[in-house]
Amino acid sequence: MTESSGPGSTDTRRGDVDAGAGTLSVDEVARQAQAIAAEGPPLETLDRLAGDDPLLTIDALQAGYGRMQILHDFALRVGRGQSLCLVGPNGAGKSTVLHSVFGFTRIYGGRITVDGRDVTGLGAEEKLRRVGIAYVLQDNSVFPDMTVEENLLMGGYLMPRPADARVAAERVFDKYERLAQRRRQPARVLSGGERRLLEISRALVMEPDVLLVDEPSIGLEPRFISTVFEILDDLQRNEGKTILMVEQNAKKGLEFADIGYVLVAGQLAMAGAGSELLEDPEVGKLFLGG
Amino acid sequence: MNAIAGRVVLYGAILLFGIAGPYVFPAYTQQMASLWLFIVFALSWDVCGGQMGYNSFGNVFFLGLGMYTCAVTQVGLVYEVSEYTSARGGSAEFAFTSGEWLTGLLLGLPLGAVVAVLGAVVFGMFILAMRGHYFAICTLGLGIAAGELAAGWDWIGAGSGMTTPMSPSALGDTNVLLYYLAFVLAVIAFVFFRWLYSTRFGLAINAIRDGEEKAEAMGLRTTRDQGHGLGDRGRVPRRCRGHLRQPQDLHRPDRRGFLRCNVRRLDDPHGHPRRQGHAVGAGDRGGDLPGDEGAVLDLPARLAAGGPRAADRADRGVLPDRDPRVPARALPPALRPRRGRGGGRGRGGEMSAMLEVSGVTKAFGGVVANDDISLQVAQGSIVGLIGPNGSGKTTLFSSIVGYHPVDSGSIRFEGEELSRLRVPEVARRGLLRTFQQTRIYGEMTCTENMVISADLRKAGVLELFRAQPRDVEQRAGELLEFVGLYEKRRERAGSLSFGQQKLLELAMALMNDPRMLMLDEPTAGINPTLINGLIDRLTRANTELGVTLFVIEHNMRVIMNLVGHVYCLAHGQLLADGRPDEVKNDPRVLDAYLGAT
Amino acid sequence: MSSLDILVQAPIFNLQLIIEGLLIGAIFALAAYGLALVWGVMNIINVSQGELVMLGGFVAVYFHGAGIHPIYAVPAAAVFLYIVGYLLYRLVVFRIVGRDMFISLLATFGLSIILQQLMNQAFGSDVRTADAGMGTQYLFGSQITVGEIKVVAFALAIVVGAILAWFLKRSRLGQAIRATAQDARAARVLGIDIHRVYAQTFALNAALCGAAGALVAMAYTVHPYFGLPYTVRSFMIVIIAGLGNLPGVIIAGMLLGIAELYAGFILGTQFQLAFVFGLLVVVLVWRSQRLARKRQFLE
Repeated sequence: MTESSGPGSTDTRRGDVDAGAGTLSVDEVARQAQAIAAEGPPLETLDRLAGDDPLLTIDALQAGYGRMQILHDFALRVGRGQSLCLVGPNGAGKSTVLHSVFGFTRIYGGRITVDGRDVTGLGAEEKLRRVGIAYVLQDNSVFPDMTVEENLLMGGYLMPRPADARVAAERVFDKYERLAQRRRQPARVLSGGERRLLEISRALVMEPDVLLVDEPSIGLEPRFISTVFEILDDLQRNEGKTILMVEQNAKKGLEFADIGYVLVAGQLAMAGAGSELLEDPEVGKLFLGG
Repeated sequence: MNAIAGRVVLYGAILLFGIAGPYVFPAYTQQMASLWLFIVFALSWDVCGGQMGYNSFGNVFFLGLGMYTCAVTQVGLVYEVSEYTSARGGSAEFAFTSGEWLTGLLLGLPLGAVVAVLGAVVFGMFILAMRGHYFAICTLGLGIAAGELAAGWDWIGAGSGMTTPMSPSALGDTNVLLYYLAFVLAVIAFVFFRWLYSTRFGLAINAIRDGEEKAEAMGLRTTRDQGHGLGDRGRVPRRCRGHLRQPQDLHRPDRRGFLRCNVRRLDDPHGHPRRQGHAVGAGDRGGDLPGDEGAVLDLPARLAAGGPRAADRADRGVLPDRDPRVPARALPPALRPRRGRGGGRGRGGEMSAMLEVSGVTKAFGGVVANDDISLQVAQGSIVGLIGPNGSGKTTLFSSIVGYHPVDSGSIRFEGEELSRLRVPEVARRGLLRTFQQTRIYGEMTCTENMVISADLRKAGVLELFRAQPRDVEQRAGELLEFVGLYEKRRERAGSLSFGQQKLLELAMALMNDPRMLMLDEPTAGINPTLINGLIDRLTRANTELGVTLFVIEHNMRVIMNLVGHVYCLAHGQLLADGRPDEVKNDPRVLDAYLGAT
Repeated sequence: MSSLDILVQAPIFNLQLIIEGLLIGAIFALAAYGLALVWGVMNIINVSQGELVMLGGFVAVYFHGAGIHPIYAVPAAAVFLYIVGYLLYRLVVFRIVGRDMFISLLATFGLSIILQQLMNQAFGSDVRTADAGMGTQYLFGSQITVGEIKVVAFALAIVVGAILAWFLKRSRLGQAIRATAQDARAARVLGIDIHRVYAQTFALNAALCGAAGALVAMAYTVHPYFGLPYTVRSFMIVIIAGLGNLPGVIIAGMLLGIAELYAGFILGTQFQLAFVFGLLVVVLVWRSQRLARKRQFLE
């Protein structure tokens, strides 16, 4: 860093202020923010992306935590068997969308439906048991002092009989050899990738149609990241799961997903096919504030 | 006027009752004496528990020290204590004359107070380091242990306790005498605590209860203030203890005695709306967890704090783009930039950096959060710090203001090395920070929040006990007006909306005439339409008050329009810096945000 | 000093103290286990723990008075206290879950006083015991005496603790309890009704206290006001052993039992409780200083 680069900028900025632009620049911010919201993709685009047959829809959602409203008029469509990735700068409200779908936020307005059924007000238990939505938390949510097998059995806690949960757990073990090898070990000894696998498969025990996946790559070593996306890809292609995902690593997420949404400040700024957005220089600009 | 008249009538009635009590209800003299003492216990418990947030179950310990000291003094002046107690104070040969009794009392009262204060100081050294429930349980143990000790110690009468009846009584009914002693003590205690809470010290202990970390960040020396608090607690209850040695039950080691001291706030005529325990005001707490994960966990707390709709409404009312009553160029004198030390604002490259971070590295258990970071903030500038989640921005802020030691490197502020200073010391040099989650004192009014934030750099111990100077309150009002919260100055800060709390926090920081403010995501969690007002205030704080700003901000759109120079961190390293548009177009920055493949 | 001399000159007497300490320490550990369970799962320190123990003891006293052998009171007290615990949760404790811990201290402290006074009304303020009618064993040529009931109580304490440990490990509810303690957020995501788990945890803890209390009544004594020392002992044991450390709790419980008996013997039994509470202060100061040393500060 050169000596002039830091302090030198002061002049430029003050020049703006002296020209009376101090408040104008603020208005400029507001104007641009509103422009983004106004320019946000119309519902038709969202419907088209979802193949005009959405499984999960969100309309005009206003949601947040306590007195902090995070989502403003948010809409979303994802079709059966599709994957949708939410990307956007930090604090844009991506995870809040997942929380709202699962029933962990305060919803002030709007509607969430699954397969045409209004599920806006349902709690997590009903979402899991009746609607078929499961949630994979971001970052390390295994029960560290329980064995791998016990962790999976907890995934089937809502099943009517413990035996059903055991059958489901066996199914997981059949599918993922790596977990089967460690079934009697406490989950805290697993590697990062194995933990993430356990978290995902634990959510699968209830056989959900929709998987909400929060930041699958966060906190993972690079070599595990692609493994995790392979697992998710397999679930989507071969088991027909619908996946709604939030991903910090926008490139990875958009590469993976059929549909990509870009959120800025709690509002939908762009929507398109994942591969399309990947190539779009506008996305990068949105991340850095236009 | 009506309020004052009402108060005069109330206090007058209480005084009248206190004075006339024994003559109107002679049969209840003893009970009424106990009433006054309970008031004293409550007041003294309140200073530590209610005001400072150190909830004690063990005031009975100090009570016991006082009463046994007084009783032993009284007995010891005349008789051998062990002989007296082995006779269980019952026999006539151990009676006191009025003179002996009074002398003992006059000596025993101050002695009891001194011993109790000594006890508070000695134990305070050990137990004040504990917080919250550990402190509560520890004091519970302390009180009961002392009671059990007394109950087993024959020298002071073991389970039977001590009593010192005066006989023959030349002073009339001793119950009446003791009643008036108790009454006078209650009046003294009441006046004393009223005075105490009107001083800076009173506000300071409040601030400690609301958030010790915040108090430290504002430059309060918390351990010193806590010491005073416990000392005060040491004082009053034991002094009063000596008085009522007569009713035997109060003298016996009482396993449940602390309950009496626990009758909280028997009276609180000050009308302070805030003296609820810290725990009750859940509104602004529970924000320790970052981002969305935290949000799930402290959902109940936030829900309890009220919904955002009302908040939004309120925000709009208070955050016009520009407050029409404060024209930008016509600020009151107190608000004009104070250009003490720096000698005015420098220009461009001619001047050296105000804050200079060079080669700072900080790792947490193997994870390198900051790796060889070097950056500069020029005086009078607004500099931004951006970077994806987990890139180490907040860690850098914390290193600068002294929350944790750095592993290597140097941090210089106006030429002075900061990296070995602690939080209050850094704050006193005029370098302040705000937090992602607001850290206001939710149970205090806005004005009180402002006043307690006022510069304590020069305040000595004596000044702590003076009343708030006028000009401090005046400046508080002016700054509240500056951020547009003047109408809300008497409201509880915790009742403000999130956006208003952010503004209050800004005003509180400005109260200290900071040389430089470090703002951690000032617009996080604020409705986009309300951000403008905050940005406007920040810009004006910079141009009109001459405060240098160093801002972490996620809302890139805002930072591009607010700052003149921006640094970008990624994976704990300095990735790029330059003018906003340069950084914005830097492909490395873009890559860092989008996630490398 | 003379009591110290006895210990030195008649070493066999040490064995007497140690055995007695171990026997009562197991019961301390049982109550501490329950305290740790509630603390770990709900983040509440239950100050009414000791009163629940005493209440269990009075069940045994009642059985004895009604002519039933008090050994049957162990399961009966557990069932009775389970119901009491469940009701307490639904009436009071659910309001304080997730609040500041000091609120929970105050609330459970209030509960303890209410229970105390109710017991005082119902059973009177005499020191009571539920005589199980067992004899005394004389060891080492009568130099050491051990009440048989104390040995039985010790064994039963181990059995009850083992049952609970097994329950937490194997049963579905037990697993949900453990899962909630380890990561409540993840438990919620899996559809576990956290408040049901909390209610069951509190009720189980009460049942555990009930069983422990029945043992106390048979082997030792109960009194409406003797509860608080049990709370304090439990708390100390958990502090020393650490949350979720079952072997540590057992060892710490037995060590505390031994330390208490030595203190009572050396200082005089009238100071035994003073020792317990004084030790609490010492343990807490020790803990805070250890933590302070751990924290990183510049200086």
